[in-house]
Amino acid sequence: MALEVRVVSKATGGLKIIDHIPPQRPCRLEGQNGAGKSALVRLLVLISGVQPYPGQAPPWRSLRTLVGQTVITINGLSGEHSSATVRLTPENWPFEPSESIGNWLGALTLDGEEVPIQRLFELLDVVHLSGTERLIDTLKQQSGCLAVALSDVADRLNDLDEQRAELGEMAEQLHSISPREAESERARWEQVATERRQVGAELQTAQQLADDLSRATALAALVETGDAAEHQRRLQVLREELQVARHRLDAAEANHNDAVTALAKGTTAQREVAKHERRLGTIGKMLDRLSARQEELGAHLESLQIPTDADLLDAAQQAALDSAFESALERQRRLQVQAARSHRTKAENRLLDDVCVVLDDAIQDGLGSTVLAKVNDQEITVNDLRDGLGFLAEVDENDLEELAGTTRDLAELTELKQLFVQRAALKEEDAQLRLELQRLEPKAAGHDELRKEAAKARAALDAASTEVRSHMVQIGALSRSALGGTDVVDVEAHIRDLLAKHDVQADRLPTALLDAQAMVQGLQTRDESLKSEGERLSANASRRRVLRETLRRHSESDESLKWLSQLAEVVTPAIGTAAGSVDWPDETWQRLADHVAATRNALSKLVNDVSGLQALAPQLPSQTTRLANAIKAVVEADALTELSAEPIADALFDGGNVRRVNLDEESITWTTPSGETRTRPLAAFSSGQQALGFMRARLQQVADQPVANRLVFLDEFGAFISADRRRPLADLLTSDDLRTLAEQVVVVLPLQSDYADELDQTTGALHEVYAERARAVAEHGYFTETFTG
Amino acid sequence: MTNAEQTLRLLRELERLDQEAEGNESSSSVAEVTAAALLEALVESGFNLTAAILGVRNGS
Repeated sequence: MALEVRVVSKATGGLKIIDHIPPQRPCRLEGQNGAGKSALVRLLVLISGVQPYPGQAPPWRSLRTLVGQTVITINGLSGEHSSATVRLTPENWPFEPSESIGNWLGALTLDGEEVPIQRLFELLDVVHLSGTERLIDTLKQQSGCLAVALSDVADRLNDLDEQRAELGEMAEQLHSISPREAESERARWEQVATERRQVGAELQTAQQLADDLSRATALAALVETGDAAEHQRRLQVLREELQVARHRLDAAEANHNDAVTALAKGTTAQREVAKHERRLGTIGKMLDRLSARQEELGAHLESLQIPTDADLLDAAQQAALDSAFESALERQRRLQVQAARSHRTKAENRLLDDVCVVLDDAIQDGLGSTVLAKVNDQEITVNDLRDGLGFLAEVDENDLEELAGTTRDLAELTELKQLFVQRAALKEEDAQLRLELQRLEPKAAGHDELRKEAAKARAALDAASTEVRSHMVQIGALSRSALGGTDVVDVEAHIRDLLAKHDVQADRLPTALLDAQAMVQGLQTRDESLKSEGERLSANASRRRVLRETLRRHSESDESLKWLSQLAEVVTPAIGTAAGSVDWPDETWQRLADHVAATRNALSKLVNDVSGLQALAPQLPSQTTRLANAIKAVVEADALTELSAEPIADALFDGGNVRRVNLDEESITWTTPSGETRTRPLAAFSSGQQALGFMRARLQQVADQPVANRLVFLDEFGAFISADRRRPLADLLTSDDLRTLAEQVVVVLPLQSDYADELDQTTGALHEVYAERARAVAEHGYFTETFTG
Repeated sequence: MTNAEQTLRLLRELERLDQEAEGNESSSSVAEVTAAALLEALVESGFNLTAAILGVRNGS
């Protein structure tokens, strides 16, 4: 029984759909352009579960927009059900021409019973063979099908983007904690340590060279400009003047003491004045001691650009001193922590390193102020714990030479800070005492000469103190300068010694100094870089332990990471399923890292390859890249299989064996039954008898795969099948050879003639036929009848 | 043939071409997971990546 199709449609926008295919096999469907022949074929292909516009968005969207409320009924089905009705729901259709047809298509009833639309996909097969199809079109179509397949897979892979990123992070983590990476970093750490020792030794030598050459340059400059002699003379004069000033100061002190002693025997007011004078004298001595000490610590002040004779510090100077102090404190702290390491056991250091890594990571994640614990009502934050971590109070500061030096620096900077504070206080007291003395003077009248003597002695004492202080500052500054107190002849000899020590010619001294300073700078930079790398590698060793443990625990407790512990068992079945506190063996970690990395790489390759293939496949590629070659190879293989099918081989290759389809050369090679090898261009199979043979062969191919309820459309056949060959086609379609082709075969033809016009020229049965055709065409734009050729 | 199967054919062809180009020499000491093997595992697991990681075959 032939299949019958009925369509009731409220399509819009001028879209027409043929509304009836009668149950006549084979059926001739002939109509005007735009009568809706193609629309019917596409819709029937669609309801059979196949996308009629694969990869062609514009016509798909047009159909989706215009098809409207449409109901398609197919009667005469063989099998359990005889009738299927589909009510299309285009409002649910996807915007893109999805290859996968789903429930969105419409509602299906089989013999009146509503069932899922997918049931129809199993029941109905619609084949659309176009008469204009050529061999090369078939191949291009195949490439287009590959593009659709790739697009579908690419969409599925795109959905994994987020998981892919997570997998990448996991692969990085596993790599970083893998034994192979640990070994690699350990080897690198040793390399860095060795190199740093070498750089340290080189730096020491280079620094000595740079210092010596720098000193030689400075001394040479003084000698050459004559400053050396002047320097030496000035120093000598200052020392002599200091001697004299000290004598004057001693005398002034003695005078002042005498004057104050005499005053102390006078009236109450005079005794009060004496007390103040005595205190002023004491303050003066204390200020002298502070100045002497400040002079001794002058190098620190000079390095901070603070004058060594600064009395009080302004804000900028105070900030510079505070900063130097903080810096020294931090340096001492770091060295103390370093020294403490040698006092701890390996296990203790390991514990501290692990905690350190956890705290550093937390600080980096912005958790520094998180309170970790409360001890004796004191909250301990992440920052607090990190700052105090690693200290060991009993570490002897002399353990390390560097630590001892830093501790000394820190003590001196502390002393300097206190010194300026103390001087400020003493100055204030001094000013206060002098004010009070002014207030007391009238009351102390009576023995005016005693009071005047005391004031005079104090003035002399102040002047002597100032003079001594000034000389000491000058001598100190000169002593710290290049020449010191050495004799000019000695200086010249010293310069020669310095140059000889490093085998430097005097005329090359400036260049050699620059070279040496550049070398020091380069070595210092290298040392810093190595130091950072060493610290990073050390921290990584701890981070690795922490991360391993964290990952392992999470893989047992966190649902999203359980796959990791499952994978651990897959890659090393011997570790068993017993969860416990025991770390997985190195072998497991390495295999996990390898497997996850391999999967990550494969996923990247998969995504890239699918994307690249997807871009090339829509047009049968002509390039010779690996991707293009793969597409061509698959299309060629498919073509070879298809053309090797017996009906086609018989029709086109005289029953020979097809050997090769070559897309680059657009040729086919086969061997005839007699063993002769022939090669022909694909174009040679595109017209005339060869084309008909090809289509016959395609029909035979379809017939060779019998299915129930198949509907075959032969479209656009009129273009190359002349009227005199239609009868053989009709005979073929009804022949036993194609008995299993389909339940319905519809030959779709454009309007062959103006039947109304020709009515007058026809008589008899033909007239009746033409009259019926003219009436149907006038009414519907098409007619159907049994195809007889 | 499903879309995934069509894609797998292309990926295997790519692998074949790559192997030809490399002269069948593996450049890595670590067993590799091929793109085709991973796609197979993804298809089998319904495109569940972690399940595919567990199920994928590698060259070891």
